Amino acid sequence: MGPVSSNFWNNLTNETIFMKTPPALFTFSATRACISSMLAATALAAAAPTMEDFYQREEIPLPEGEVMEGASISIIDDKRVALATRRGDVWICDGAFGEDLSKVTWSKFASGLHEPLGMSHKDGWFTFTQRPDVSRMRDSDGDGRADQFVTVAAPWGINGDYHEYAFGTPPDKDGNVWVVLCLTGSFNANSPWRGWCFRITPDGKSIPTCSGIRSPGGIGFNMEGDVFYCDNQGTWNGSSSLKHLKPGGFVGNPNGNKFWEQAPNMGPKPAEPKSGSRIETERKRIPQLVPTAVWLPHGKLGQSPTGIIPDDTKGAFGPFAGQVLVGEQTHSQVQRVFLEKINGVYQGAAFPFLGGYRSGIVPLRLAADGSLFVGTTNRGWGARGGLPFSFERTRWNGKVPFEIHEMRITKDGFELTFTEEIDPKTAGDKASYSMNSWTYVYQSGYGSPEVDKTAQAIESVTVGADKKSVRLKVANRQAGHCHHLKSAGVRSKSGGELWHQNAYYTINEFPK
Amino acid sequence: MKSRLLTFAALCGATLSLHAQAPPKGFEKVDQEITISTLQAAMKYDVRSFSVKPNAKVKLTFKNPDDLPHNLILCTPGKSKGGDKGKEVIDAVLKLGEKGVEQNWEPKGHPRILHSTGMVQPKKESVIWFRAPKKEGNYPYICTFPGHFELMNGMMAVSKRANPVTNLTYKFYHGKWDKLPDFSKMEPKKTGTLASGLFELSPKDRDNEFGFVFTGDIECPKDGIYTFTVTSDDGSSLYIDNTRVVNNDGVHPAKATKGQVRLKAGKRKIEVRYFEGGGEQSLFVEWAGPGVKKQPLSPGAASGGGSGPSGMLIAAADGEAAIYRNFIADAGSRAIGVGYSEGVNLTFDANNMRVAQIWQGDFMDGARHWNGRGQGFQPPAGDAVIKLPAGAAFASLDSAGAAWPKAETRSSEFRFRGYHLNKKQQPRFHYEMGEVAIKDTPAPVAGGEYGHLTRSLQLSAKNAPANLYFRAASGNITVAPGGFVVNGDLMISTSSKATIEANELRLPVKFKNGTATIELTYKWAQ
Repeated sequence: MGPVSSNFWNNLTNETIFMKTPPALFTFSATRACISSMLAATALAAAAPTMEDFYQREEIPLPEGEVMEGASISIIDDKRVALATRRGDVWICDGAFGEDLSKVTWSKFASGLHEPLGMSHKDGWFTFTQRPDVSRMRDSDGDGRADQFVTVAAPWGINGDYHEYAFGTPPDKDGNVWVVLCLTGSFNANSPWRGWCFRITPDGKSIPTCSGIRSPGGIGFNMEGDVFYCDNQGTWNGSSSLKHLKPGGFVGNPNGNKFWEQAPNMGPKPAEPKSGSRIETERKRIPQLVPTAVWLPHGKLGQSPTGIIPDDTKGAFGPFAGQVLVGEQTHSQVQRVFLEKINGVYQGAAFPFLGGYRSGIVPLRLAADGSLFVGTTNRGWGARGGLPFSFERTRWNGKVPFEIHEMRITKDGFELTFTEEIDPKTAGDKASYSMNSWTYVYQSGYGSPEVDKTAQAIESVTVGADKKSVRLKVANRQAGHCHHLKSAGVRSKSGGELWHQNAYYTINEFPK
Repeated sequence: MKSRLLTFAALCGATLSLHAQAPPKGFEKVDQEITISTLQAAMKYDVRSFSVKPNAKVKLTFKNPDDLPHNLILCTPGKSKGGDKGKEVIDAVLKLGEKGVEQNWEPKGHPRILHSTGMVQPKKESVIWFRAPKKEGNYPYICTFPGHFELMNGMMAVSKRANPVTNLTYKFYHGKWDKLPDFSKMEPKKTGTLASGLFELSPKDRDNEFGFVFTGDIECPKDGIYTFTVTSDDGSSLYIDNTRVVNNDGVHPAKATKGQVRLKAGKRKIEVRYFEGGGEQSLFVEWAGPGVKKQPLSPGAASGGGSGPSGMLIAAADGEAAIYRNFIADAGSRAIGVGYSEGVNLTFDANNMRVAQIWQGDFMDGARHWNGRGQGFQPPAGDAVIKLPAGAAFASLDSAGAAWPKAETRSSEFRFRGYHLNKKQQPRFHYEMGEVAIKDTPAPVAGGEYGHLTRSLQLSAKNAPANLYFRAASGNITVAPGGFVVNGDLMISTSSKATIEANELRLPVKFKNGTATIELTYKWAQ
């Protein structure tokens, strides 16, 4: 799968990072144990929050003997969900919203597709993106199996290299499917249009939309309908990240820019970026360069980001409605991202969120009732969880976790809002917080260490009148950096700890 | 897997030539030559097992230096479990009674007889040429002279992994060792023949603490240095003519060890010794040398490499077709494989809008693309693969004999529009060439062992082009009764006008009221 780094050095490093720095959940537990024992003498410590306190993760039984490695998911209606597999089958799961998942039934709707990494359903038609094209299919004779397969557009080349993946969105508000095309071998553009994003119109026109893609793991919308994709750590991409596909933009990897002249709608070709520089430096020189919206710091917050969905459930999935959820293949997790637009440029904060899935998440979809479906696989790229593949449902149990809800940049620092009322004493104490930042080398080589490390002093904290927010005055913030905020000391009004105390905010712009 | 009735009578075609000096037409060059001799006063064939590839052209020389007349009759596999070594044919010989002598002890027309050398008198020989069956399996050969059968029999294995190892037998032992023991001092638990010529562990009756000694003959095509590789878990060794060439002894996970030896052309004795202690177990033998590209002498693949991945055959449900869109060898990156349960298969190349190849038997093996990351192009799993011309199948030409446009990776003139599946899941492909819309409907036809294919192309255009041509085939094309024979392998029939131009079979497309139709039949030439 494109999502993941395909480099031995990289995997080795990841392993090392993993051993040195356990994932946030584990760190948290260990720290909690420590704090608990310290507090035990003086106060009755509340049990540390875990995912099970707020969200119920369930495996959906699969048909016996079938290999159903998750490639894409589509919600059909309030009873049925379609799962497309990496082997090219499309299955329909009836009863996926039921209380008793042992009662689900499966039927095979289609087979023989070429790795359909993007699928949606409307008016009886599935629109899907597979390696060779964007297609539509339907069952025209009502026998429960697809019989009509219509190729909408196939503007790009493929040459037999496994890395030449194509990920696609559901249709946007104009009916366009957005497709991101992985580089050949995740390095080169040996086939036409590798490294590009296309918009495919409903009548089959192909519009070159962005260049600079390396190795996507998924593509999707935020609540505003803007399109983002996840790119994986590699050449010209120091860390895995969430990137905004701004039409006409260049998102970082120059290897596909050789097709720029064939896209007159794109305007002038961007200058060649200088290897060893920083994105923040190069974007001043290359106006087409769209900076990384949110770093998903490699090894700290997963290492293979995949699917992207907005939480459009208006609260059915918990308190994070309007934010973006990002799948993670290697660590088998779901991260949460708060996005904001400053001076017309996207940036924001990434938070750890859900975990413990049985294999590496590639597609994810949220139904209106708040059921989150994920498809998983560990084929070709290892993943936590112990299973080769699974199909899982997660639902919110109605209990609000104590979390940082939003993290916004302000003129002199950051504003945090919380999901419940805070304890003004701890939340108002600047010692409850710490912050440091770094960025990544923007280079033709593979990945990057964390560089230009900087410490930020929390100069003061002001608790909001609503007791659900704080304003942090922060010195020394850095444009182009990932800012790691740790809020270890913050307690809720009832004395609870944060479920997750780490947040990673990427600054591209300061509010004017 | 596909169910199909085997009509062996159809593939008998009987012996092409008896006692012939010159090969029949089409057999000037054969895929495999085998010589089988009788042993003097021993009532045995010197070759008791050998293997051939499905559909291979075979020249079999049968020599009889013995003092009695003998024959060699090749039979279809018996229906009983494990086969009956051709006993049914012998029973038929006995029923001939007095007629037996005049019929040379051969029950002519018996449904299990594939080929016969005829009765060969002492000190004489006979040569026959034939096509090996297309279906893999063990085909017995026997001498039908009364009383000879029990000792005078052998086995021809039809296998995609056919190799030059003959007379391969095994001895199987139980025991606990941490290095190879002296098997010669032990009593084997069982012995048997591996007609396939493949060194394999499948005869074992337990998973730990066992050993094998395999012995056979290997035909070296030329003088020179040969390399043998044995990958095993646990220990193994390989001997040629009683000299150790590979030492891979000891307890270890799957490990490859190589050895080289200079050999003279001809038959050499090959022996492989193997033992397994506990845990994982594997044995994989390969060889290479002058005139031999690295060739596996075991089924499957060596752990951690070797030949291409296999073992995940994709098959259509009974009465239906299976679709496999993927990277398929010789069919491009936008290939659509279609496997029909009738036993015929094709790939449609959606880069160039052409049927890229047709073949018989198994459809596709998913193992390359469904294991790991799935790199590269997978060839068809079956046999009798016939490749059709690369590049676009339609072209506008200035004249009937003009050069066909050069093949591109992906033709820019076409647009693939998808496919429609009928109730049998068989696709009709839709594509466009400029203003011409084309519906392309292949269909399987059952009959014979594997059947054949038809294809119907319907073209429509508002402004019909005047100079459009369809290229059906290329190569050595000859006119034959009922159609065109292509490269000796393929018979194409069509009711449309077709001409041979520049070594290509071209059909001018004549539109009438904005539509045109092309009907084609593709049969494997015999």
